[in-house]
Amino acid sequence: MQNAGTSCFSLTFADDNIKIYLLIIDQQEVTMIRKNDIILIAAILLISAGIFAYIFLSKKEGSELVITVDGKVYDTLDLNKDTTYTVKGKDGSYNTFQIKNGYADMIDASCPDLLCVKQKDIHYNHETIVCLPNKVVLEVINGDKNEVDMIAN
Amino acid sequence: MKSKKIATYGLLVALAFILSYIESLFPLAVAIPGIKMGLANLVVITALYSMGVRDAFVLSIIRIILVGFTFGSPSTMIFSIAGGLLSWLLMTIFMKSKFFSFVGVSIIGGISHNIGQIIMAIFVVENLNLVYYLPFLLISGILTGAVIGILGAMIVKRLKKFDNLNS
Repeated sequence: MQNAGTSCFSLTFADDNIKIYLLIIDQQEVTMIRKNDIILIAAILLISAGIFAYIFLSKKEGSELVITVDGKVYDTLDLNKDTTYTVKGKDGSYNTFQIKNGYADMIDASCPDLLCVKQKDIHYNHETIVCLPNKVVLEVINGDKNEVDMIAN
Repeated sequence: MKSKKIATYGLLVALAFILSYIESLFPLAVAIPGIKMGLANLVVITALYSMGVRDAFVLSIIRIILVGFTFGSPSTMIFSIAGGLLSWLLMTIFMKSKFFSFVGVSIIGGISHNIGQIIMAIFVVENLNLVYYLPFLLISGILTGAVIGILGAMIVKRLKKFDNLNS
């Protein structure tokens, strides 16, 4: 796909070099890009950078992992105890994750897209792994370490 | 409805459908819910400029329903609808404002599509912390939106050579 795309792109450019220039300059016609668009891009980048900075500065080590299914808390686990855990849904769906060295990572799931398995492991406060088809969310919190009921299976 | 318009509709729906299919064949490596290449947005933005706001809306909805039933499931369709509607709305506002040109409008379309999906996801899983994905969605929206915008401007320019699709 990539090959076809690039060759097509360069062909048009070779063909229409001058016209594309006109397209950029001429504001009456379909304008491809002008100053306001650049300002828009810069503004969005700035906002993203701000949010990134906020996330980075408020980053704290998490201590617990909360599992929610369909918005309800399913279980809470200690992030410092290595385990493998399976969340079972009513309709036979499942999500299996692993806690290892303080990091939680989804290793298997019944959902078709397996996006949750591809998501990177989580360790810091507020980080999440989401499985939308099964409505399962793993979230790291900075909770109290004493009140942990571990039901690992 | 003139027969030419019907033909154009059919053509664009088919095109959007195929682009969605291609997109489903090549999932992006980044595993963040809501991020999409948004190839089909090429058709929507082309319709927005060459046909009109209403036609772009209808095309977008038809595409989402078709794709939802073939490559997705009803549960993924609500995310597409949230993304598609928000993206159409903001692209329309930005286009009508005449403040931005093609690439700007397309970027807004890409970003709002991602944001619409994440807002829906926040409601579905009832976890506000998904907003932490927002900066990734913004940046990916800029990249995909810019590419789609450049391609779209080339297409619309060529379509104008023939004549307006709406006539």
